[in-house]
Formats: sequence, C-alpha cells, structure tokens
Amino acid sequence: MIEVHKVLSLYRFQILWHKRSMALWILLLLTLAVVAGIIFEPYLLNPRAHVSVHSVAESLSGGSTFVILLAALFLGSDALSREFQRKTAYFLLPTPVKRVTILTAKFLGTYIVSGVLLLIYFGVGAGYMAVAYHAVPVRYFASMALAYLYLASLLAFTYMFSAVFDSGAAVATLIFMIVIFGNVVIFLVENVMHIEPWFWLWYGTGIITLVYAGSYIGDYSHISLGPMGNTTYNPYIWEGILIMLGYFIISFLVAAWCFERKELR
Amino acid sequence: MDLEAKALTKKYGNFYALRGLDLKVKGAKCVGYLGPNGAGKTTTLKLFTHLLNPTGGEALINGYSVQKEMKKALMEVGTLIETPDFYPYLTPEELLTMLCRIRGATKCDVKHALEEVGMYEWRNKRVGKFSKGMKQRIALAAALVANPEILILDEPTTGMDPRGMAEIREVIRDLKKSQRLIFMSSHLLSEVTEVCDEVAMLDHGTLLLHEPIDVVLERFRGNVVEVTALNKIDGEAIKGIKGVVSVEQISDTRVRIGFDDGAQTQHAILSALMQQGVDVVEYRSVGMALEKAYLEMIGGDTK
Repeated sequence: MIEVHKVLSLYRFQILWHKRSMALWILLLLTLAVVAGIIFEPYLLNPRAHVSVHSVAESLSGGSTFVILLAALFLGSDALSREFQRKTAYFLLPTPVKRVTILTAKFLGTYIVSGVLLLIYFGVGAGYMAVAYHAVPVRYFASMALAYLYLASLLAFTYMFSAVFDSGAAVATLIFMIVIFGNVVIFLVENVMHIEPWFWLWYGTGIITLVYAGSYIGDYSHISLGPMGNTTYNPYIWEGILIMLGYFIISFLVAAWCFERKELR
Repeated sequence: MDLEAKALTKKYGNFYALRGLDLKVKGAKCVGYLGPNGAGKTTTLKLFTHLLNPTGGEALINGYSVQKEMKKALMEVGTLIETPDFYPYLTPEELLTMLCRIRGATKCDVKHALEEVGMYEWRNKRVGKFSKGMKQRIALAAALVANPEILILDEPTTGMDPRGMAEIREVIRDLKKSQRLIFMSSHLLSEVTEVCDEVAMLDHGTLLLHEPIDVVLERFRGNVVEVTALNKIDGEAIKGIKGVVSVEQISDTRVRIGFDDGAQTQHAILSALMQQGVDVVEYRSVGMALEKAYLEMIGGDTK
C-alpha cells in the first residue's frame, strides 16, 4: 500500500528537483511561446483579421495538448529511467519503503510542476481574452479542467515507459512518436480493421476542444485526406473522461508493477 | 542483529552470479566480504538490499525475509551499494533529509552524519559539482544518517585518495565501537585485515571460507621470515638451526629464512640468531597471511 505521509513529504523534493533544473525553464519559455503563437497567429497573415473570442478560446484549448506533451517529454520521460541510468536508485531504493510510494511521490511532484505550467498557459490565455474581448467563455474553464485530466493520463502513460526503459531519451522519442502518429494509427485502424479505436488516448482527449461543440458531441466528423476520407466518432464528454481516466489508472498501475520489479544489475 | 543467506542463488541466463550461498553473520562486528571481480560480492549485497530478486533461496535480515518483508528487513539497515550518483541539483543536507523522510526514521541526525564523513562544510553546495570521492563520502553519510544497527557497505573506500581511505577506515572502526554489524565487501585485503573481525571469501558465486580473521591468519601464517642485522649474517650457520628448511641470502646483512613449523620455531630461530651473535634489527614475517589465504582459495598465484 502507498504510505500517504511519506508521499506528502517526498513530493516536495521532486518539485525542488524540477525547480532547479534547466528543463523547467526551457519548458516555461516554450509554454509562453505556444500561447503567444496561438494568440497572434491569425494576425500574422491578416493584421485586420477579426477572430471571435470563441475561436481564440478553442484554439488555446487545442494548443494546451501540445504544452501537455512538452511537459510529459521534458519532466516525465526520465523521471524513473534516470534513476537506473544514473544510478540514483542505489541511493533511493534500498530503503524500507515500497517503491510504489516513491513512484507516487515523484508523480505527484511532476504533476504539480506541470500543472503550474498549464495554469500559466491557460492564465495568459484567459488574461488576453479578458483584456481584448472583455469576456472569457465558461467552456474555456471546462476545457481547462479536462486538460488537467489529460495531463494526468499522459504523464502516467510516460511514467509507464519510464519505468520500463533505462533511457529517458528513448522514452521521450517513443512518446513523441506515439503522439505524433496517433492520428495515423486511428486512421489505419478505422480503414483497415473497420473498428472505432475508442481505446486510443487521443480519442478521449478530443473532448478538450469538443467541449465547445455543444450538440455535435456524440456525433461523427468527416476528415478528408487527399483522395481518402475518414469518419471519426466524436465522443461524449463522459466517454472522453472515462478513456483518459482509464489510461491514467492502467498506466499508473503498470508503471508501479514494473518499477516494483525492476532490478539494478 | 544478523544477516543470513539461505541457499541464496542468482542466475542470469545460464550464468550463476551466486550459487547456493549459505552464510550467517551475527552480532556487533565487522565482516569483510572478499572476492575477485565477478565473484558475486555486489550481487550478494544487492540481494540483501532488495535491488535484485533471487533466483532461489532467501536473504534474511534480523530474521525477516528481504523479499517477503522488505520494510521490516531494511528498517535497521544503512546501505552503500556501488558508488551511487545523486540528484545533482540537490545539496547533501537536502539529500539526507529526503532519505530520512523516506525511511520515516526517528533517530536521524543529518549534521552528525555529514560531520562524521567530513562533509559538513559542503552541506549547502549542490552535489552535481562534487568529485567521486566526495560523492562516496555523501553515500557513506546516507548509510549512517538514520543511525542503523546494520551497515551493508560495498567497497566503501572506492574512488578515494589515500587520505580519504584512511579517514573512512577510521570512521568504520569507530562505528564498530557503537555496537553495529558491518558487512563490508572489499577487494583490498589490507583494508579487511585492518578493519574487520571476520572474513568471508567468495569466488565464482560460491562461498570458500567464513572465519574470524585471527583464525585465518593463524591457519595461513607465513612460514618465511626476513632478518636484517647490523653485522654480517652467516647463511650457512643458520641452516643448522632446528626447523629451518631454507636460507636465502639477500645481502650481507639480510637473509630470508624458511621454516617448517609455527610460532615456536619462529621464536627459536630468533633466539638462535641472537646466540650466534647476529645483531638483529628487524625480524618479520614475509608476505601477508590473508593475501596468501585469499590467493590459495581462489586458485591464484601465491608468489
């Protein structure tokens, strides 16, 4: 069982570790670059463009998935693998504490730091809409809450690979490939196997932007890819939440199982 | 306080890193764990600290199985396995505080542990800039910080300069005085002879010997003495002394004498030399008994 009091005293050291690392500050700069890019991108092509607040909010919500991916790559990919690669595990693991407790503390620390970055991202976006449009759509906050759920599921997914591989770079590459080619996998599964790949995490994360679509949720959307087309199911909010929650729980359990059994040869 | 290996086995594919190790060490003492590279020393220590899972058998600490009751088994154990690396952005003080919180230890003393290894003045510097020797000291402080009754140390003086090695041996000798069981692997025979009370020798994953150092020294006592005198030594005259089997004249004033019995003969030879009018200024056993035992056991060259 997880020892909650040890988790609560340990996660602070993970936060301290992230705070003093260069990766966090690079990530902060990238986060600010992403939010600035999304806000100002329409005006680069047409300085007189009129963009609705709804459209800005939806773009910002969509962009949050990129920030979450960066957080997982920068902060999560080597969270466990570096313990084995750099031998820090020799210091940490021969102690009278279950490894799942250490894993939970590390996860909590990384989640909080990533969460603060996400808050900065959504905060800057909300600030811009408040100043430029004197309004922030309520669904922007709903989308933000769903983004936090996505952050938990993607971080747990990354931790799972980090518990298996000894190289953080290998984990980061793998996660990047999975995310980038996720839509290709959906496309292939649908067209080759003729089944809805509802089990794919990115199926669930669609709700971060679908939350703006109102009555379209639960419907199908059609994407054209050259001569081919693709019809994709847009999940209901509760379906998306279930998928992300499922990824979080299963990934975390697998990460804990692997970390508990990993040997330091 | 005790450590016990019961038919402890670790296998990688077809290779036995450790083969049916049966070993029990008990009470406040220092036990040196000797063996050549690849003998299975570090594997044994990793099995005792839950860093590896055994293929067969069991590792017990204070009667608790490390594999089945890890928390109870490791509660009173401080460890230094290989030379661990540390989180480079944290300071020694933060690292040891973190370790105390992980252990949930009530008798932690970060200041004392850092003072003991001579790193207190570095307590607020980030570990990333430390040398290997300094990291080794921090690793030893990490083993000591919770004031455990059992210490499992894997080559604790590795990476240190001669002064650092002497200081760490002094720390270990002091620890012995405070009623602890120290199980220490080393490939430095002099270190084990100097610090430990018992020695266990391992080769190819198999235990060859586990006995008190005194017993081993007695059993493998060197039967060659080297004599240095102020005046000329007559080698031919020495051959007539009872028990002497060989005499090697090194120089006019130095000879190496081989004999065929124990301490009594060694003493008789010295008395005879004095009677012959040799002005002895040095009379010492040649070679290190433990080294001889070690090399004989692992089938190495004793010359």
